[in-house]
Amino acid sequence: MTFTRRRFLGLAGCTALFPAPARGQGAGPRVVVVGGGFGGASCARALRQLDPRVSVTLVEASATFTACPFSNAVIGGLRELSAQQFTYARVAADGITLVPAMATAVDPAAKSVTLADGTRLPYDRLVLAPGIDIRWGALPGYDEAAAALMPHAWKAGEQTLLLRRQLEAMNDGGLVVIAAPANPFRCPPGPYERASLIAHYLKTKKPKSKLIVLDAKDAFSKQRLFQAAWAELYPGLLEWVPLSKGGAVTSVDAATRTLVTDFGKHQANVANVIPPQKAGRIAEAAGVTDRTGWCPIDPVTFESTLQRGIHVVGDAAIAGAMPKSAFAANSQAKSCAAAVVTLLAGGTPAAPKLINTCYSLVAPDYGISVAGVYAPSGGQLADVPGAGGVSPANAPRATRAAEAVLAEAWFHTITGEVFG
Amino acid sequence: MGKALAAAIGLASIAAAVTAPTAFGQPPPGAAACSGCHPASARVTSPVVRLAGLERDAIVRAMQGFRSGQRAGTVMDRIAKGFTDDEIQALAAWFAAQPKGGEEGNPARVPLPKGGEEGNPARVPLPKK
Repeated sequence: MTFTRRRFLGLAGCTALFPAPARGQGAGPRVVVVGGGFGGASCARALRQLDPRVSVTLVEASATFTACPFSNAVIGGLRELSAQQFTYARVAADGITLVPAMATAVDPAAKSVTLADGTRLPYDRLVLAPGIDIRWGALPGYDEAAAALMPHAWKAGEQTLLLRRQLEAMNDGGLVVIAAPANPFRCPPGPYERASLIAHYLKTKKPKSKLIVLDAKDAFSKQRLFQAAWAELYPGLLEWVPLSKGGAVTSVDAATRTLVTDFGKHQANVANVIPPQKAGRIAEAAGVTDRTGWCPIDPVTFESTLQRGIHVVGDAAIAGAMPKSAFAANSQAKSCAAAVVTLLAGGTPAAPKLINTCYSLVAPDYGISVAGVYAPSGGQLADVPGAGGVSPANAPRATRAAEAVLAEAWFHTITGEVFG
Repeated sequence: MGKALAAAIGLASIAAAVTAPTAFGQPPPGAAACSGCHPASARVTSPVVRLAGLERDAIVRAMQGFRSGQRAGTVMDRIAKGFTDDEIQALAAWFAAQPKGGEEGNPARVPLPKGGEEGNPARVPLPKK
């Protein structure tokens, strides 16, 4: 054989990527990324890092990103919202073109994204990382006007502050109700971390108050750890009502802050309705959502199974066993970027291996976690058998305190990687 | 026979070169996910060790220790169980080959900054009171 392995690797590593002629600076393949959260911003940066010849455009309407992880600590009065907010200055400094506009349409045949002002951005490959949208009306009585009275606070920002202000304004002895949705939804342990940190606020500031979690499910993420901690930290204060005991909220009346279940009515002083969700709007406009409202993807490339040339990462994607978390979105974004770079070069992407780690605070000094390792299997991203799981039950408080510190360290590290 | 075998190996090598991510200078499977907790950037201060530039054998020993349960971990004991020996070797080789960069190349644990965010220049500044 004259075509040696060494020579072949040399080719694959250099000239085979993009045929040498004509493609100068800025004339490389064009990738447009829509959505500047943990998925989109991570993907844009990873693309530039993996191949600086790729021209990357990040479309994001907000000048400031407000992170959801740790926003429950803002609601519980432990942290300010400004600690959740990041700019895109460093992302732009990587040579990524920032387009501060709303993407309104995608033409998969013409390979272009349309912005609110009618501008069209052509792409060779498109990455959608639009996060979630609320399914307004899916819960009777819960529309955008209702959210101004019964905040969802499931997209961090004004809604987060609204819920906090309502808790601060409530008299001691009031009733707080959280309505938690059926699966799937953004941040599976999120409602229970929120319940924990609201309970912490009530215990320390308004101890005669009560918190009820009305749940459309009978089981939830890190359930045994949460329930053990609640029994220890918030006995008599926090009550969880599962689906089988009448927990599913069937309608709400925002004017009276009333939540209706099959078993009765709860009139709350503060009501936090975490409603059913779907992929962010642009995903539907691009034709990459299925009847569930979420986006089916190839588990190796994150390419939509419904539209070629469009990849979906983060909360919007149907990522098999992976939860809709910031860590998962970041992990998927980097694997997707590797696949996109390989595909643009005419190669075949290798099967990725992904990780998720998700911390929850039950109290400021009490953290618990769930971790998982994932690989493509049977057309899905599946749990790698034998790996992953939750923090040990019956761990000493020092372990819980260490996990609370690691939770904050994780937030610091991942926001540093994505925005710093 | 010998020629056929050699040809088969040659083909397999080419196939591997085409599909292996490292053929495009990319990290091996799993490596990109580590920086969710282990800072990739020297600008980020964390009590979690930076992996770039660590000794290959040290990474292999740590992963194997976490996987077997001989080494205590908080989440790494759960994560290491998802990686094979070959994957651990590839991860270790890749991280060992990365430049250490900055003062964070020192794997010594550093305390978290108060509030945890000062190190991130992308942070929106606190409103002046």
